[in-house]
Amino acid sequence: MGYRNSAYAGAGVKVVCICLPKHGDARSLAEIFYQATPQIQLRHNEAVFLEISKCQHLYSAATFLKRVQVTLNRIGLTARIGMAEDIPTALAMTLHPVAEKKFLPIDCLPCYCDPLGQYPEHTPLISKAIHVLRSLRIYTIKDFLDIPAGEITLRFGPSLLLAHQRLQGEHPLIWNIFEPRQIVQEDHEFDLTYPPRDLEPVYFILRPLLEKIFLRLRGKGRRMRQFKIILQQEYATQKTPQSYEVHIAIPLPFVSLKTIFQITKEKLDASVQKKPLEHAIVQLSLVVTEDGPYMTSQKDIFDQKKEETSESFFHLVSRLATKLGPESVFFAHLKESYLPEKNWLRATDKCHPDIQSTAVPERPLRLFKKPLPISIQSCHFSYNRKTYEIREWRHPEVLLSNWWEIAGGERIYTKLITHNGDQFWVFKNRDVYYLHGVFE
Amino acid sequence: MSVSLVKPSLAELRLLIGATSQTPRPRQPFSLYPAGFFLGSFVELSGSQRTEFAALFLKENPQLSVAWIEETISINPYALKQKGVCVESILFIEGKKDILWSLNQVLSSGCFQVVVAENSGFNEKDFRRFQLLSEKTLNHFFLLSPSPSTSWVPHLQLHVRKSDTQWDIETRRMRGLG
Repeated sequence: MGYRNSAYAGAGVKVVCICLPKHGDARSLAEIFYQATPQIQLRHNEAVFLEISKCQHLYSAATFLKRVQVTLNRIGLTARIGMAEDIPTALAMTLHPVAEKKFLPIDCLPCYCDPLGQYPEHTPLISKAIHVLRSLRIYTIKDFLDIPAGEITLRFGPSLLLAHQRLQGEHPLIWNIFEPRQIVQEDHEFDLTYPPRDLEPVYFILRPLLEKIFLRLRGKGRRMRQFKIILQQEYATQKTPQSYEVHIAIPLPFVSLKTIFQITKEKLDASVQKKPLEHAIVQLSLVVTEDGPYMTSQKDIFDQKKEETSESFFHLVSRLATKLGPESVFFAHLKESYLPEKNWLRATDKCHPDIQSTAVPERPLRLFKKPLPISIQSCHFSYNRKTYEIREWRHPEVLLSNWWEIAGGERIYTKLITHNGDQFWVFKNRDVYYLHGVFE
Repeated sequence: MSVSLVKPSLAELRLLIGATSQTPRPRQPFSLYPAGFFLGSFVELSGSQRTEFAALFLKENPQLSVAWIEETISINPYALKQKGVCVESILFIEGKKDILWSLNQVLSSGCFQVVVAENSGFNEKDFRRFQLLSEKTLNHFFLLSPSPSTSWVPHLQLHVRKSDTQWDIETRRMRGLG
């Protein structure tokens, strides 16, 4: 699906062209601007075209250009930016900045013949035609347009006829659907002459890479939940592999990039201190392993302290989750179930409970992950190297658990009260007693 | 000529060195301990019903944000809910072997008004660090110990027991503002 830009020509169509330096990654850049417009076209890794006429209610063309400039600065990229009514002109105006289209030099004719760089085989013919045009003292587009269209094919070939027609608003280009990549990854290769041996140069590169990944995901309306850093070492050894991987978890939303960078730095430092790098680093890669929806929030200008507190809370949770594992830092999501081990789950985000009041009998505040088998003999039992004398057996309760689990089947629970006042939650299953919790 | 020695009072000496006057800190009310716990207090709870005692404090102060830290999680959030605690505002942390680091991070972050932790064999130095951090960030720090420690660091050591519905709260040690 696509639309012809000629239909919009003269109706305020605006195409922004971003020309990248050599070895630029046009696709990544396009993903960053995906949130601004879905109408994106690429010219290999050389240029990105963004059609922004539909976004005029959100921002003006001038504002958009400033935003582009700021974004490029954030990711440390220097690029040329231009804007025009169609793709070829936007490219030509970016490469040869002039006040008006008619003053463009004829060197920009390849932009009109093949704006998306799909036919490289035509380039020598076009260059030859431009050379001939110069010999005829035709230097600008204005002069070129004075040539009658009927004479162009005979004298300069069909490619220049196409350019002539495009200059007059014919043969518009089709906007194809742009699909962002599923795998979000950024790589940086270090100079092999002096590959870094410590992490300091890595941090210089890491920041813009993180920024780029953050913006790419934001373009898709996503955010990082987990990612890994791969430090490619020069050689592999028998003991250690060539790739040195460090995993980072960011379980909560609204974490700023500064925080993510700090967490990453801490984790990398700790990992390398524990398990040092053996060789020089030749490549740094960042791969997003899990993403989540990006939730935007309005800045609260009346309660900035609240925002700061939330930010420090998310920072703390992310640091803890990165160090201890995402499963170890959690909120409890309660569920209604008779089985004590199944009435709550670990959740990474705050969630409102499904239950408000409970019909389930009182449960112990301490519940063991696995019931401990104990032996009760003449009103005595041992736990934690201590012997307890049972004073009272209370509140018998029968529960049925899954037969394939440990102590599955029928469980007869009882509250044991000892002479010291300690209260234990014990159940009997197939003539074996298990200690399942403590009313502490 | 006789020389007379003038002995200044403690208050005068305090004024000379520019010491700040000791003003009482605000206290968080609690029905089981009517004096309440002051902000930045380090309370060590021991006894058979120590967890329930902490849970009841959380129930009576649902507006407080809470971190609950254990080496291996054995606390039952469902039972906390049954006791009337607002479980949604509690962040649970399973510190494993990094429990000390986790506790330091949580206490120093200042994100929580109450921190409840299980005593995992902390030493005197750790206690002192917890006390300074909780005083600095003004949060209530409850340490649940199976038996009362011999340390002088906690502001308050309570030994709590319960028989049926009757609470037996014994103050083992009180220091400073207690």
